Amino acid sequence: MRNPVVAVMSVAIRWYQKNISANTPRRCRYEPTCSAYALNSIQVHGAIKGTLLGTWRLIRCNPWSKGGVDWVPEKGAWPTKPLGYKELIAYRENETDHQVIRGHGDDHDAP
Amino acid sequence: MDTILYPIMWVISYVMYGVHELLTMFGMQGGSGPAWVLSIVGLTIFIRILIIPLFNKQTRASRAGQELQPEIKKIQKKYKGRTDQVSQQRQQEELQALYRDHGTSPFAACMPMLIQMPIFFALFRLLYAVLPLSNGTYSREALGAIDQDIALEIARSTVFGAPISSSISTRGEFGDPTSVLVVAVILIALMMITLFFSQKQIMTKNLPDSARDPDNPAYKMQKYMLYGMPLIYVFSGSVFQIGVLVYWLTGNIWNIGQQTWLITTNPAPGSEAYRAREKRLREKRLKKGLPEVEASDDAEIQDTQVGQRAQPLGKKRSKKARQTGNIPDNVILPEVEEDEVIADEEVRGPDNLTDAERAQKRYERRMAERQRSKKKRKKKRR
Repeated sequence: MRNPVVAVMSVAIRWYQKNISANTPRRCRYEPTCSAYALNSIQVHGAIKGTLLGTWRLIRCNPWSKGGVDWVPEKGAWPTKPLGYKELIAYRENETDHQVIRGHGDDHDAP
Repeated sequence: MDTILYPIMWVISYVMYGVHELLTMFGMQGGSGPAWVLSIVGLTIFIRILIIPLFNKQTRASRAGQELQPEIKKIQKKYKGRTDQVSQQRQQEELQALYRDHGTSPFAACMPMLIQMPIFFALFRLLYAVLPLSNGTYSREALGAIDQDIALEIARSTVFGAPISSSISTRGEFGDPTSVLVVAVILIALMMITLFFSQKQIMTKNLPDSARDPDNPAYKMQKYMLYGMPLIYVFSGSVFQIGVLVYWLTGNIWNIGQQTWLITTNPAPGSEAYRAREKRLREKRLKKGLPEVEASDDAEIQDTQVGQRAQPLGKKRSKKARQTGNIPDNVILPEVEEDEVIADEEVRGPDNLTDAERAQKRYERRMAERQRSKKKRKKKRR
């Protein structure tokens, strides 16, 4: 986030979220919303690819799209198909499985 | 405009011509006369029969939206009272994912309307072209099946003295402007009544009670539409020809018939029509001497279940089983009462945290750890 272009764009998106978007009901068909996606994608992928991904997302977010859970792809990757309910649950289960293996015995907060 | 609509006008002209031929075959008077008016009615019925599948699709789409409601409630209940950002985000993720699976395209809902618009305008332009066609002043020699002679027949056909290609705004060009005005006004009034009735029918009979909440914006909108839509006819009706009005009125009447059929045979669950149908079915069963309620699917499933009997656990043991997480697979856990769960959450451990807070902390820490390890992996790769 050292990049000043990214910083300026982030401030602009944050300003939109606070002052314009916050006053309207939710209308995005995806999660995260388009603005959150754009913000995240320019921070992950930089100004150029981030803008590209954000624009592509805005185009996809139309009344004929199905929506779904569509996270920002990892650095170097490109968007994949958004997740439906079953896929989301499967993804989460997969993730917690890995967590259990990796996070074994580190539960300091447990009574 | 006419160039784009020409293929549709061409098809329409042949449908009308075909219906007219059929009617004269059954002994109606050929040439100009009521047969041409009825051919417009025939055209409406023909088109409406063709788009019945679209209507069914529309009904299915709106039903799917209603079936989604319990699923949404389930998710909302799961995250009830959890206001931290992570749970909020997870809830939103689940909801959006659900919408994706059961997504109803807004396209399906207005498809019957969209399909009918070009047909409607094509008929409007076709009737508009009838006079120039009969004079031979139209840009084409014939429009599909309608050549100069047939155009003359159509131009001379009347509905109670009003030519079918005349309208209120063009009545001065025809021989009997008063009858055009009177017939058009009567037709528009009939259209308004039929439209009002069909909307009212849906609103009072085929809306589930949950959708009839007066604060529901969609319901409010429909209420405005109920009185607003018929008013649109007052303004648009003066431009459209008698023939178009006949087409429109027939369509409205067809709508009422189709709706009546729908709400008697397949009403929306939870609506007044649905309850009425249940009652009818019950009475029918009683008449036949069958038990009042049909055996539910649950009962059948329980009957067919064989093998080891599921053992219900006591309150104390079930609580313990839940906490430790090793629930034997042949037992039934009694439903947890709502306030009991809340009471459980209020219990603070030695670290002065509730279970929920602890889980939250654990989640955040693991999240952070995952991020760190991800970064490490990235660095190694480079």
